[in-house]
Amino acid sequence: MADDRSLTVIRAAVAEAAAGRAVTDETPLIQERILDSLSLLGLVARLEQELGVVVHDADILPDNFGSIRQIHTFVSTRSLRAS
Amino acid sequence: MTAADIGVEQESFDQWLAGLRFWAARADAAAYGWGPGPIADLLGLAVPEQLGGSGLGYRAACQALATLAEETGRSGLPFSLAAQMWATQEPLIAFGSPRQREVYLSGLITARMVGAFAATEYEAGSDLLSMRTTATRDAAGRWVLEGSKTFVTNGPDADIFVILARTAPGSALGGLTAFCVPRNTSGLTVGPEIAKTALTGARLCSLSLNACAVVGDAVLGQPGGGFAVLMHAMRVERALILAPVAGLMSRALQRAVEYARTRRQFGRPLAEQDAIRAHLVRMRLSLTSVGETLSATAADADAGRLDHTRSSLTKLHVSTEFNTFCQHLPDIYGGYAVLAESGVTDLIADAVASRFYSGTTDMQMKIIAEGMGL
Ligand SMILES: Cc1cc2nc3c(=O)[nH]c(=O)nc-3n(C[C@H](O)[C@H](O)[C@H](O)COP(=O)(O)OP(=O)(O)OC[C@H]3O[C@@H](n4cnc5c(N)ncnc54)[C@H](O)[C@@H]3O)c2cc1C
Repeated sequence: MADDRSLTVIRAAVAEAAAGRAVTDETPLIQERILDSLSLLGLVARLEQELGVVVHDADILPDNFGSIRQIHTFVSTRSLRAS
Repeated sequence: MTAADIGVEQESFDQWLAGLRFWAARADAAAYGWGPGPIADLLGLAVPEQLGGSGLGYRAACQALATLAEETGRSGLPFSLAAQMWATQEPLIAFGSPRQREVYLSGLITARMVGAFAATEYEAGSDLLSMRTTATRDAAGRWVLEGSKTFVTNGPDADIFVILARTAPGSALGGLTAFCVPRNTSGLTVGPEIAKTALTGARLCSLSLNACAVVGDAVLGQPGGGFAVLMHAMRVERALILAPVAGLMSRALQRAVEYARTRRQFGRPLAEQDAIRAHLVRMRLSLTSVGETLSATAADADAGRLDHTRSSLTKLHVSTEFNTFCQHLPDIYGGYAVLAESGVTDLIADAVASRFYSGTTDMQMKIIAEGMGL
Protein backbone atom coordinates (compact mmCIF):
# COMPACT_ATOMS: atom_id res chain seq x y z
CA MET A 1 0.00 0.00 0.00
CA ALA A 2 1.11 3.53 -0.59
CA ASP A 3 2.04 5.26 2.64
CA ASP A 4 0.12 8.02 4.38
CA ARG A 5 2.21 10.64 2.68
CA SER A 6 0.64 9.83 -0.66
CA LEU A 7 -2.84 10.22 0.85
CA THR A 8 -1.82 13.58 2.30
CA VAL A 9 -0.48 14.77 -1.05
CA ILE A 10 -3.61 13.58 -2.89
CA ARG A 11 -5.95 15.24 -0.37
CA ALA A 12 -4.02 18.52 -0.60
CA ALA A 13 -4.00 18.49 -4.39
CA VAL A 14 -7.72 17.72 -4.60
CA ALA A 15 -8.52 20.37 -1.98
CA GLU A 16 -6.85 22.94 -4.20
CA ALA A 17 -8.85 21.85 -7.22
CA ALA A 18 -12.01 21.97 -5.07
CA ALA A 19 -11.37 25.65 -4.33
CA GLY A 20 -13.11 25.73 -0.96
CA ARG A 21 -15.77 23.08 -1.58
CA ALA A 22 -15.95 20.34 1.04
CA VAL A 23 -14.47 17.08 -0.21
CA THR A 24 -14.29 13.73 1.57
CA ASP A 25 -12.27 10.73 0.45
CA GLU A 26 -15.43 9.36 -1.20
CA THR A 27 -16.76 12.51 -2.92
CA PRO A 28 -17.35 11.73 -6.63
CA LEU A 29 -14.85 14.23 -8.03
CA ILE A 30 -15.82 13.87 -11.65
CA GLN A 31 -19.60 13.80 -11.31
CA GLU A 32 -19.49 16.81 -8.98
CA ARG A 33 -17.17 18.54 -11.45
CA ILE A 34 -14.51 19.18 -8.83
CA LEU A 35 -11.98 17.86 -11.34
CA ASP A 36 -12.22 19.19 -14.87
CA SER A 37 -9.86 18.49 -17.75
CA LEU A 38 -7.39 21.19 -16.77
CA SER A 39 -7.33 20.59 -13.03
CA LEU A 40 -6.91 16.89 -13.77
CA LEU A 41 -3.73 17.65 -15.71
CA GLY A 42 -2.56 19.74 -12.75
CA LEU A 43 -3.32 16.88 -10.37
CA VAL A 44 -1.44 14.39 -12.56
CA ALA A 45 1.56 16.75 -12.66
CA ARG A 46 1.56 16.96 -8.84
CA LEU A 47 1.29 13.21 -8.39
CA GLU A 48 4.21 12.74 -10.76
CA GLN A 49 6.35 15.42 -9.15
CA GLU A 50 5.57 14.87 -5.50
CA LEU A 51 5.04 11.11 -5.38
CA GLY A 52 7.30 10.06 -8.21
CA VAL A 53 4.59 7.91 -9.84
CA VAL A 54 4.34 7.73 -13.59
CA VAL A 55 0.81 8.32 -14.86
CA HIS A 56 0.34 7.09 -18.42
CA ASP A 57 -2.28 8.69 -20.65
CA ALA A 58 -4.11 5.37 -20.72
CA ASP A 59 -4.47 5.59 -16.91
CA ILE A 60 -6.57 8.76 -17.14
CA LEU A 61 -9.85 6.91 -16.65
CA PRO A 62 -12.77 7.80 -14.40
CA ASP A 63 -12.16 4.63 -12.33
CA ASN A 64 -8.69 5.83 -11.40
CA PHE A 65 -9.61 9.44 -10.66
CA GLY A 66 -13.22 9.19 -9.47
CA SER A 67 -12.49 9.98 -5.80
CA ILE A 68 -9.59 10.54 -3.43
CA ARG A 69 -9.92 6.88 -2.41
CA GLN A 70 -9.69 5.71 -6.04
CA ILE A 71 -6.71 7.97 -6.76
CA HIS A 72 -5.01 6.54 -3.66
CA THR A 73 -5.65 2.96 -4.79
CA PHE A 74 -4.35 3.81 -8.26
CA VAL A 75 -1.19 5.47 -6.88
CA SER A 76 -0.60 2.45 -4.62
CA THR A 77 -0.65 -0.02 -7.51
CA ARG A 78 1.64 2.26 -9.49
CA SER A 79 4.13 2.57 -6.61
CA LEU A 80 4.11 -1.20 -6.13
CA ARG A 81 4.79 -1.83 -9.80
CA ALA A 82 7.58 0.73 -9.87
CA SER A 83 9.40 -0.75 -6.87
CA MET B 1 22.03 -2.87 -28.39
CA THR B 2 25.71 -2.00 -28.35
CA ALA B 3 27.27 1.41 -28.88
CA ALA B 4 28.53 0.18 -32.25
CA ASP B 5 24.95 -0.64 -33.32
CA ILE B 6 23.81 2.85 -32.39
CA GLY B 7 26.72 4.28 -34.40
CA VAL B 8 25.69 2.34 -37.47
CA GLU B 9 22.08 3.41 -37.05
CA GLN B 10 23.07 7.05 -36.66
CA GLU B 11 25.29 6.82 -39.72
CA SER B 12 22.58 5.27 -41.85
CA PHE B 13 20.05 7.83 -40.58
CA ASP B 14 22.42 10.67 -41.50
CA GLN B 15 22.75 9.16 -44.96
CA TRP B 16 19.00 8.82 -45.27
CA LEU B 17 18.55 12.45 -44.17
CA ALA B 18 21.03 13.58 -46.81
CA GLY B 19 18.98 11.62 -49.35
CA LEU B 20 15.79 13.31 -48.14
CA ARG B 21 17.47 16.70 -48.46
CA PHE B 22 18.58 15.88 -52.00
CA TRP B 23 15.12 14.60 -52.99
CA ALA B 24 13.25 17.50 -51.39
CA ALA B 25 15.42 20.13 -53.00
CA ARG B 26 15.01 18.64 -56.47
CA ALA B 27 11.72 16.77 -56.66
CA ASP B 28 9.07 18.16 -58.91
CA ALA B 29 6.38 20.02 -56.95
CA ALA B 30 3.85 17.39 -58.01
CA ALA B 31 5.97 14.72 -56.31
CA TYR B 32 5.48 16.30 -52.89
CA GLY B 33 2.71 14.13 -51.66
CA TRP B 34 1.96 10.91 -49.88
CA GLY B 35 3.63 7.97 -51.54
CA PRO B 36 6.27 5.30 -51.13
CA GLY B 37 9.87 6.48 -50.83
CA PRO B 38 11.11 9.24 -48.55
CA ILE B 39 7.64 10.29 -47.33
CA ALA B 40 6.72 6.77 -46.25
CA ASP B 41 10.11 6.39 -44.53
CA LEU B 42 9.52 9.65 -42.69
CA LEU B 43 6.07 8.59 -41.47
CA GLY B 44 7.57 5.47 -39.88
CA LEU B 45 10.57 7.04 -38.14
CA ALA B 46 8.92 7.39 -34.72
CA VAL B 47 7.03 4.09 -34.96
CA PRO B 48 8.52 1.13 -33.05
CA GLU B 49 10.11 -1.59 -35.18
CA GLN B 50 7.72 -4.27 -33.92
CA LEU B 51 4.85 -2.20 -35.34
CA GLY B 52 6.48 -1.84 -38.74
CA GLY B 53 8.33 1.45 -38.29
CA SER B 54 12.05 2.05 -38.17
CA GLY B 55 12.04 2.88 -34.45
CA LEU B 56 14.57 5.69 -34.85
CA GLY B 57 12.48 7.90 -32.60
CA TYR B 58 11.01 11.34 -32.19
CA ARG B 59 14.24 13.29 -32.56
CA ALA B 60 14.95 11.67 -35.89
CA ALA B 61 11.37 12.32 -37.02
CA CYS B 62 11.55 15.99 -36.02
CA GLN B 63 14.87 16.42 -37.83
CA ALA B 64 13.33 14.90 -40.94
CA LEU B 65 10.25 17.16 -40.79
CA ALA B 66 12.47 20.24 -40.38
CA THR B 67 14.69 19.13 -43.26
CA LEU B 68 11.69 18.59 -45.54
CA ALA B 69 10.35 22.07 -44.68
CA GLU B 70 13.76 23.69 -45.09
CA GLU B 71 14.51 22.18 -48.48
CA THR B 72 11.08 22.49 -50.06
CA GLY B 73 10.22 25.83 -48.49
CA ARG B 74 6.68 24.50 -48.18
CA SER B 75 4.89 24.44 -44.87
CA GLY B 76 1.76 22.51 -45.84
CA LEU B 77 3.17 19.06 -46.53
CA PRO B 78 5.32 18.75 -43.38
CA PHE B 79 2.38 20.07 -41.32
CA SER B 80 0.06 17.45 -42.84
CA LEU B 81 2.57 14.68 -42.20
CA ALA B 82 3.16 15.83 -38.62
CA ALA B 83 -0.59 16.03 -37.98
CA GLN B 84 -0.99 12.42 -39.13
CA MET B 85 2.07 11.21 -37.20
CA TRP B 86 1.18 12.80 -33.88
CA ALA B 87 -2.63 12.81 -33.85
CA THR B 88 -3.53 9.65 -35.78
CA GLN B 89 -0.57 7.27 -35.71
CA GLU B 90 0.35 7.95 -32.05
CA PRO B 91 -3.13 7.12 -30.68
CA LEU B 92 -3.12 3.93 -32.81
CA ILE B 93 0.30 3.00 -31.40
CA ALA B 94 -0.81 3.64 -27.82
CA PHE B 95 -4.41 2.40 -27.90
CA GLY B 96 -4.95 0.45 -31.14
CA SER B 97 -6.14 -3.16 -31.10
CA PRO B 98 -4.01 -5.65 -33.06
CA ARG B 99 -6.53 -5.41 -35.92
CA GLN B 100 -6.58 -1.59 -35.91
CA ARG B 101 -2.79 -1.51 -36.00
CA GLU B 102 -2.66 -4.15 -38.70
CA VAL B 103 -5.16 -2.41 -40.97
CA TYR B 104 -4.73 1.29 -40.24
CA LEU B 105 -1.29 1.88 -38.71
CA SER B 106 0.48 -0.23 -41.30
CA GLY B 107 -1.48 1.54 -44.07
CA LEU B 108 -0.54 4.96 -42.69
CA ILE B 109 3.18 4.33 -42.25
CA THR B 110 3.56 2.88 -45.72
CA ALA B 111 1.76 5.96 -47.10
CA ARG B 112 -0.92 3.74 -48.63
CA MET B 113 -3.46 5.52 -46.44
CA VAL B 114 -3.92 9.05 -45.14
CA GLY B 115 -5.13 9.65 -41.58
CA ALA B 116 -6.99 12.51 -39.88
CA PHE B 117 -8.00 13.37 -36.32
CA ALA B 118 -11.35 15.04 -35.76
CA ALA B 119 -12.09 16.55 -32.36
CA THR B 120 -12.88 20.25 -33.01
CA GLU B 121 -16.45 21.32 -33.77
CA TYR B 122 -17.85 24.66 -34.82
CA GLU B 123 -19.03 25.39 -31.27
CA ALA B 124 -16.27 23.44 -29.53
CA GLY B 125 -12.88 25.02 -30.26
CA SER B 126 -10.84 25.88 -27.16
CA ASP B 127 -13.80 24.58 -25.16
CA LEU B 128 -13.24 21.23 -26.84
CA LEU B 129 -14.86 19.14 -24.16
CA SER B 130 -18.22 20.79 -24.85
CA MET B 131 -18.34 18.79 -28.10
CA ARG B 132 -21.81 17.71 -29.20
CA THR B 133 -21.14 14.85 -31.58
CA THR B 134 -22.66 11.76 -29.99
CA ALA B 135 -22.30 8.03 -30.46
CA THR B 136 -25.02 5.72 -29.20
CA ARG B 137 -25.37 1.95 -29.41
CA ASP B 138 -28.14 0.54 -31.59
CA ALA B 139 -29.96 -2.77 -31.11
CA ALA B 140 -27.39 -4.56 -33.26
CA GLY B 141 -24.56 -3.36 -30.99
CA ARG B 142 -23.19 -0.90 -33.53
CA TRP B 143 -22.17 2.63 -32.54
CA VAL B 144 -24.12 5.34 -34.38
CA LEU B 145 -22.41 8.73 -34.69
CA GLU B 146 -24.35 11.97 -35.11
CA GLY B 147 -22.89 15.45 -35.36
CA SER B 148 -20.23 17.39 -37.20
CA LYS B 149 -16.52 18.20 -37.02
CA THR B 150 -14.45 20.98 -38.52
CA PHE B 151 -10.81 22.00 -39.06
CA VAL B 152 -9.97 18.40 -39.91
CA THR B 153 -6.40 18.45 -41.23
CA ASN B 154 -5.92 15.91 -44.07
CA GLY B 155 -9.70 15.36 -44.11
CA PRO B 156 -10.17 15.84 -47.89
CA ASP B 157 -7.70 12.99 -48.59
CA ALA B 158 -8.08 10.81 -45.51
CA ASP B 159 -8.91 7.11 -45.68
CA ILE B 160 -9.25 6.77 -41.93
CA PHE B 161 -10.60 9.27 -39.38
CA VAL B 162 -10.08 9.10 -35.62
CA ILE B 163 -13.26 10.80 -34.39
CA LEU B 164 -14.08 11.79 -30.82
CA ALA B 165 -17.69 11.63 -29.72
CA ARG B 166 -19.67 11.82 -26.52
CA THR B 167 -20.96 8.44 -25.38
CA ALA B 168 -22.28 9.37 -21.92
CA PRO B 169 -23.62 12.55 -20.32
CA GLY B 170 -21.69 14.37 -17.60
CA SER B 171 -17.95 14.80 -17.34
CA ALA B 172 -15.81 14.38 -20.44
CA LEU B 173 -13.50 12.25 -18.32
CA GLY B 174 -15.75 9.23 -18.68
CA GLY B 175 -18.10 10.53 -21.34
CA LEU B 176 -15.96 10.55 -24.49
CA THR B 177 -15.02 7.70 -26.79
CA ALA B 178 -12.64 7.65 -29.77
CA PHE B 179 -13.60 5.79 -32.96
CA CYS B 180 -11.71 4.70 -36.07
CA VAL B 181 -14.06 5.54 -38.92
CA PRO B 182 -13.08 4.54 -42.48
CA ARG B 183 -13.88 7.09 -45.17
CA ASN B 184 -16.37 4.88 -47.01
CA THR B 185 -18.58 4.43 -43.92
CA SER B 186 -22.18 5.18 -44.79
CA GLY B 187 -23.39 8.35 -43.02
CA LEU B 188 -19.95 10.02 -43.06
CA THR B 189 -19.86 12.99 -45.44
CA VAL B 190 -16.50 14.62 -46.13
CA GLY B 191 -17.01 18.33 -46.85
CA PRO B 192 -15.21 20.41 -49.47
CA GLU B 193 -11.71 21.72 -48.78
CA ILE B 194 -11.78 24.81 -46.53
CA ALA B 195 -10.11 27.79 -48.23
CA LYS B 196 -7.42 29.24 -45.97
CA THR B 197 -4.49 31.65 -46.18
CA ALA B 198 -1.82 29.71 -44.26
CA LEU B 199 -0.06 26.34 -44.58
CA THR B 200 -0.53 26.12 -48.33
CA GLY B 201 -0.67 22.50 -49.40
CA ALA B 202 -2.23 21.19 -46.19
CA ARG B 203 -5.89 20.40 -46.83
CA LEU B 204 -8.62 20.83 -44.24
CA CYS B 205 -12.36 20.16 -44.31
CA SER B 206 -15.44 19.64 -42.17
CA LEU B 207 -17.20 16.32 -41.63
CA SER B 208 -20.83 15.56 -41.09
CA LEU B 209 -22.03 12.43 -39.39
CA ASN B 210 -25.63 11.37 -39.97
CA ALA B 211 -26.59 7.95 -38.70
CA CYS B 212 -22.98 6.97 -39.28
CA ALA B 213 -22.85 3.41 -37.93
CA VAL B 214 -19.62 1.59 -37.09
CA VAL B 215 -19.14 -1.85 -35.56
CA GLY B 216 -17.98 -2.35 -31.98
CA ASP B 217 -14.34 -2.89 -32.84
CA ALA B 218 -14.17 0.63 -34.28
CA VAL B 219 -13.67 1.89 -30.71
CA LEU B 220 -10.08 3.07 -30.20
CA GLY B 221 -9.10 2.26 -26.61
CA GLN B 222 -12.02 1.66 -24.28
CA PRO B 223 -15.60 2.89 -24.52
CA GLY B 224 -15.55 5.94 -22.21
CA GLY B 225 -11.78 6.20 -22.55
CA GLY B 226 -11.78 8.93 -25.23
CA PHE B 227 -10.34 11.51 -22.87
CA ALA B 228 -7.21 9.40 -22.44
CA VAL B 229 -6.88 9.11 -26.23
CA LEU B 230 -7.30 12.86 -26.60
CA MET B 231 -4.74 13.60 -23.87
CA HIS B 232 -2.25 11.26 -25.46
CA ALA B 233 -2.66 12.75 -28.92
CA MET B 234 -2.45 16.30 -27.57
CA ARG B 235 0.61 15.63 -25.41
CA VAL B 236 2.63 14.39 -28.37
CA GLU B 237 1.11 16.79 -30.90
CA ARG B 238 1.67 19.94 -28.83
CA ALA B 239 5.27 18.94 -28.27
CA LEU B 240 6.17 18.09 -31.84
CA ILE B 241 3.69 19.63 -34.30
CA LEU B 242 5.98 22.64 -34.72
CA ALA B 243 9.02 20.53 -35.71
CA PRO B 244 8.84 21.79 -39.33
CA VAL B 245 9.04 25.39 -38.07
CA ALA B 246 12.76 25.02 -37.31
CA GLY B 247 13.32 24.24 -41.00
CA LEU B 248 11.09 27.06 -42.25
CA MET B 249 12.88 29.58 -40.04
CA SER B 250 16.30 28.33 -41.06
CA ARG B 251 15.44 28.72 -44.74
CA ALA B 252 13.93 32.17 -44.20
CA LEU B 253 17.02 33.33 -42.29
CA GLN B 254 19.42 32.07 -44.99
CA ARG B 255 17.38 33.93 -47.60
CA ALA B 256 17.20 37.11 -45.53
CA VAL B 257 20.98 37.08 -44.99
CA GLU B 258 21.50 36.61 -48.70
CA TYR B 259 19.10 39.45 -49.47
CA ALA B 260 20.79 41.81 -46.98
CA ARG B 261 24.18 41.01 -48.50
CA THR B 262 23.14 41.69 -52.06
CA ARG B 263 20.62 44.54 -51.77
CA ARG B 264 22.51 47.85 -51.82
CA GLN B 265 21.24 51.22 -50.61
CA PHE B 266 23.28 54.37 -49.90
CA GLY B 267 26.18 52.77 -51.73
CA ARG B 268 26.59 49.69 -49.54
CA PRO B 269 24.86 46.39 -48.76
CA LEU B 270 21.97 46.47 -46.28
CA ALA B 271 23.97 43.90 -44.29
CA GLU B 272 26.39 46.67 -43.27
CA GLN B 273 23.66 48.73 -41.60
CA ASP B 274 23.58 48.17 -37.84
CA ALA B 275 19.79 48.21 -37.74
CA ILE B 276 19.60 45.39 -40.31
CA ARG B 277 22.32 43.39 -38.59
CA ALA B 278 20.40 43.64 -35.31
CA HIS B 279 17.28 42.23 -36.98
CA LEU B 280 19.25 39.32 -38.41
CA VAL B 281 20.97 38.59 -35.12
CA ARG B 282 17.64 38.55 -33.30
CA MET B 283 16.28 36.16 -35.92
CA ARG B 284 19.29 33.92 -35.35
CA LEU B 285 18.57 34.01 -31.62
CA SER B 286 14.96 32.90 -32.17
CA LEU B 287 16.05 30.15 -34.55
CA THR B 288 18.67 28.82 -32.12
CA SER B 289 16.27 28.72 -29.24
CA VAL B 290 13.54 27.05 -31.32
CA GLY B 291 15.95 24.38 -32.58
CA GLU B 292 17.30 23.61 -29.14
CA THR B 293 13.87 23.54 -27.51
CA LEU B 294 12.42 21.18 -30.11
CA SER B 295 15.44 18.93 -29.97
CA ALA B 296 15.38 18.69 -26.15
CA THR B 297 11.62 18.06 -26.15
CA ALA B 298 11.93 15.32 -28.76
CA ALA B 299 14.75 13.77 -26.69
CA ASP B 300 12.41 13.80 -23.67
CA ALA B 301 9.80 12.02 -25.77
CA ASP B 302 12.39 9.42 -26.82
CA ALA B 303 13.27 8.88 -23.17
CA GLY B 304 9.58 8.44 -22.30
CA ARG B 305 9.48 11.49 -20.02
CA LEU B 306 7.40 13.98 -21.97
CA ASP B 307 4.80 15.49 -19.67
CA HIS B 308 1.93 17.87 -20.47
CA THR B 309 3.78 20.86 -19.06
CA ARG B 310 6.81 20.29 -21.27
CA SER B 311 4.57 19.81 -24.32
CA SER B 312 2.69 23.04 -23.69
CA LEU B 313 5.89 24.98 -22.90
CA THR B 314 7.32 23.82 -26.23
CA LYS B 315 4.19 24.73 -28.20
CA LEU B 316 4.02 28.14 -26.53
CA HIS B 317 7.71 28.94 -26.88
CA VAL B 318 8.18 27.83 -30.48
CA SER B 319 5.02 29.55 -31.75
CA THR B 320 5.95 32.76 -29.89
CA GLU B 321 9.51 32.77 -31.26
CA PHE B 322 8.25 31.96 -34.77
CA ASN B 323 6.05 35.07 -34.63
CA THR B 324 8.83 37.23 -33.18
CA PHE B 325 11.16 36.00 -35.93
CA CYS B 326 8.64 36.88 -38.63
CA GLN B 327 8.16 40.41 -37.35
CA HIS B 328 11.75 41.20 -38.40
CA LEU B 329 11.33 40.09 -42.00
CA PRO B 330 9.48 43.13 -43.41
CA ASP B 331 12.15 45.42 -41.96
CA ILE B 332 14.76 43.62 -44.02
CA TYR B 333 12.81 43.27 -47.26
CA GLY B 334 11.12 46.67 -47.19
CA GLY B 335 8.46 46.96 -49.87
CA TYR B 336 9.58 43.66 -51.36
CA ALA B 337 8.09 41.94 -48.31
CA VAL B 338 4.65 42.17 -49.89
CA LEU B 339 5.73 40.64 -53.19
CA ALA B 340 4.76 36.99 -53.44
CA GLU B 341 8.31 35.99 -54.44
CA SER B 342 9.72 36.98 -51.03
CA GLY B 343 7.41 34.49 -49.27
CA VAL B 344 7.29 36.86 -46.28
CA THR B 345 3.52 37.20 -45.90
CA ASP B 346 3.06 33.43 -46.39
CA LEU B 347 5.46 32.78 -43.54
CA ILE B 348 3.72 35.37 -41.36
CA ALA B 349 0.40 33.60 -42.02
CA ASP B 350 1.99 30.28 -41.02
CA ALA B 351 3.28 31.91 -37.83
CA VAL B 352 -0.19 33.22 -36.99
CA ALA B 353 -1.70 29.76 -37.55
CA SER B 354 0.92 28.20 -35.25
CA ARG B 355 -0.54 30.12 -32.32
CA PHE B 356 -3.90 28.40 -32.71
CA TYR B 357 -3.71 24.81 -33.91
CA SER B 358 -3.13 22.10 -31.26
CA GLY B 359 -4.58 24.48 -28.66
CA THR B 360 -4.22 28.25 -28.59
CA THR B 361 -1.59 30.22 -26.70
CA ASP B 362 -4.17 30.97 -23.99
CA MET B 363 -4.87 27.26 -23.54
CA GLN B 364 -1.14 26.40 -23.30
CA MET B 365 -0.84 29.08 -20.60
CA LYS B 366 -3.67 27.45 -18.64
CA ILE B 367 -2.09 23.98 -18.85
CA ILE B 368 1.32 25.30 -17.77
CA ALA B 369 -0.25 27.25 -14.90
CA GLU B 370 -2.08 24.11 -13.68
CA GLY B 371 1.19 22.16 -13.79
CA MET B 372 2.76 24.86 -11.60
CA GLY B 373 0.03 24.34 -9.01
CA LEU B 374 -1.32 27.87 -9.52
C1 LIG C 1 -4.45 25.00 -39.47
C2 LIG C 1 -5.30 24.36 -38.43
C3 LIG C 1 -5.38 22.96 -38.38
C4 LIG C 1 -6.20 22.34 -37.44
N1 LIG C 1 -6.31 20.97 -37.45
C5 LIG C 1 -7.16 20.35 -36.59
C6 LIG C 1 -7.35 18.94 -36.67
O1 LIG C 1 -6.74 18.24 -37.47
N2 LIG C 1 -8.26 18.36 -35.83
C7 LIG C 1 -8.98 19.09 -34.91
O2 LIG C 1 -9.76 18.50 -34.17
N3 LIG C 1 -8.82 20.44 -34.81
C8 LIG C 1 -7.93 21.09 -35.64
N4 LIG C 1 -7.77 22.47 -35.58
C9 LIG C 1 -8.60 23.24 -34.65
C10 LIG C 1 -7.82 23.91 -33.53
O3 LIG C 1 -7.44 22.98 -32.57
C11 LIG C 1 -8.71 25.04 -32.97
O4 LIG C 1 -8.72 26.07 -33.95
C12 LIG C 1 -8.21 25.57 -31.66
O5 LIG C 1 -8.39 24.63 -30.65
C13 LIG C 1 -8.91 26.87 -31.23
O6 LIG C 1 -10.29 26.83 -31.38
P1 LIG C 1 -11.05 28.01 -32.17
O7 LIG C 1 -10.32 28.22 -33.44
O8 LIG C 1 -12.48 27.63 -32.22
O9 LIG C 1 -10.84 29.32 -31.30
P2 LIG C 1 -11.74 29.85 -30.08
O10 LIG C 1 -11.86 28.79 -29.06
O11 LIG C 1 -12.98 30.46 -30.63
O12 LIG C 1 -10.80 31.00 -29.49
C14 LIG C 1 -10.70 32.33 -30.00
C15 LIG C 1 -9.74 33.10 -29.13
O13 LIG C 1 -10.26 33.20 -27.80
C16 LIG C 1 -9.32 32.69 -26.87
N5 LIG C 1 -10.04 32.03 -25.77
C17 LIG C 1 -11.06 31.12 -25.85
N6 LIG C 1 -11.42 30.72 -24.63
C18 LIG C 1 -10.61 31.37 -23.75
C19 LIG C 1 -10.48 31.36 -22.33
N7 LIG C 1 -11.26 30.60 -21.54
N8 LIG C 1 -9.54 32.14 -21.76
C20 LIG C 1 -8.74 32.93 -22.52
N9 LIG C 1 -8.81 32.99 -23.87
C21 LIG C 1 -9.74 32.21 -24.47
C22 LIG C 1 -8.48 31.70 -27.65
O14 LIG C 1 -7.22 31.47 -27.05
C23 LIG C 1 -8.36 32.41 -28.99
O15 LIG C 1 -7.32 33.35 -28.94
C24 LIG C 1 -6.93 23.13 -36.50
C25 LIG C 1 -6.81 24.52 -36.55
C26 LIG C 1 -6.02 25.14 -37.48
C27 LIG C 1 -5.93 26.63 -37.49
